[in-house]
Amino acid sequence: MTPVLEVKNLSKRFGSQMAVDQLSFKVMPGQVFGILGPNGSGKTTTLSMVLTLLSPTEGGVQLFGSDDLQAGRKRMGVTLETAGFLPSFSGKTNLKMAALNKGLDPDSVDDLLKKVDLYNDRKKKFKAYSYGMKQRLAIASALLGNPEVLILDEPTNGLDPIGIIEVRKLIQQLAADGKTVIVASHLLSEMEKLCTDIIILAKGRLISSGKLSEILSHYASLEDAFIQLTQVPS
Amino acid sequence: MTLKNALRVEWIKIQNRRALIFIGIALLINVALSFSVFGILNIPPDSPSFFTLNQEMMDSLNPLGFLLSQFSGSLALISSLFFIQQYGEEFKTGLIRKVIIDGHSRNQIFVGKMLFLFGTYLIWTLVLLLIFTAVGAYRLGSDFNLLLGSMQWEEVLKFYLHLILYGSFSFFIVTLTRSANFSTLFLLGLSTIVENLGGLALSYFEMGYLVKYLPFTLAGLVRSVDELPLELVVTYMLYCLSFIGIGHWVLNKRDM
Repeated sequence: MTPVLEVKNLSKRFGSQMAVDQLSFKVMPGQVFGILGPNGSGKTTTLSMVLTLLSPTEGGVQLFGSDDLQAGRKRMGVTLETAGFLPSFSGKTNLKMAALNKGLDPDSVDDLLKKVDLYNDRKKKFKAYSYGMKQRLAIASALLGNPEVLILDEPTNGLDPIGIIEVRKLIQQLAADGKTVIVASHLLSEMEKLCTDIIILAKGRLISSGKLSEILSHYASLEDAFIQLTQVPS
Repeated sequence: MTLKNALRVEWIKIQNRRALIFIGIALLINVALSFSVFGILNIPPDSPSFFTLNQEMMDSLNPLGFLLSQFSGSLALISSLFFIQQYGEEFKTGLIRKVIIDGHSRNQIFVGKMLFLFGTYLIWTLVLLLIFTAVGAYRLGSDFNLLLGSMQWEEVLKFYLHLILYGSFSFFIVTLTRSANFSTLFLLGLSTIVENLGGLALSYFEMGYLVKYLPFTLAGLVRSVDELPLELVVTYMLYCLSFIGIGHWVLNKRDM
């Protein structure tokens, strides 16, 4: 089976600081793949290189078994920490723009707005949305065109407990629909509930990787694993 | 993304009310002040004195050229600031990153920006011509026939070319700084400095030969001089190509 994402010896240096150091991993179809690590561990930098926002210092990325990352990106839906929406436009207008950018029918966004429970607030300006609503709109945007793979960077960051539960249910539903989901987060309890496979990063390096169930068989919890594994000398 | 979709996205973005209010107020103030300064609104419809306001310029330019030369500097600034606000906000909000993530190449973004930039400049040119026609027809009566009769597309082209340098520079500075506010300050500051340096150099140091090669001075020359020497035309083109070329290179190579 061809991996949807393969990262090979990926490195990124910012000046004297090594943000990502010789990172390699594969994501297979159908997995809910967690990229875990404390703040500054290189999660977002890794995803940014996968999405060609950053150019790697070394190494490379393949999407769907191909080096053509532009073609691969069209088969993915992504939310990053920066929303990419214009604050003075409504949620619906922003989503329509995103649909047009993806070459889709802009009139198809109503169903997605309903799916992420924003239909009643669709005419509100984006800047008037709460943090949770912004996150849900970002997920709706990522779902445009029914992509095979979803990449979600810190999808529950800043959400209240209800918002976290809503996003978790949404991701679980997407996984149940057969989508591959790649989630970067430092919220371990959430990742424990969501992921089938994980990698743990610290200071840009891969500390551990594998099936979540295998890792949990050696530790009391993911939090325990995380604390023990990330306490590595630099 | 098809060209049709790209244009639809730009059309939605151009309806940004804050930017439209900003541009509308700036344009109104500019037109009101300019018409007031040049006395157009105070001239009786049957008076022939309008075209003697600046006889020296009128001798070298036709009436349309005269009008366009009076407005092009400020309009170039206003329309460039509009572009800077739009493009800068796309960097600030992460929209540019999102478009790349959605599977578009940076070259496609570059082409889209060029189409948007020079397309909106074309619209500004047409809007200004419409304003002149409307106000002129209302206030100047039969004298305005002279303006219409002498309308030369060469003057419109020179006006448009003048905008292109400002547009190229705006694209360059926003791509480099990724900040609408910083780019706005930089454009206003630099154009003011160049104007003042030009005046100083001409008045005190007899360095007119050097001043004419400065980018914004050269843009002014392009719009107001009948026949531009070849070396200035080449310099002008080099400025435009350099600003666009470096901007394109930065957009392609720099991390987002």
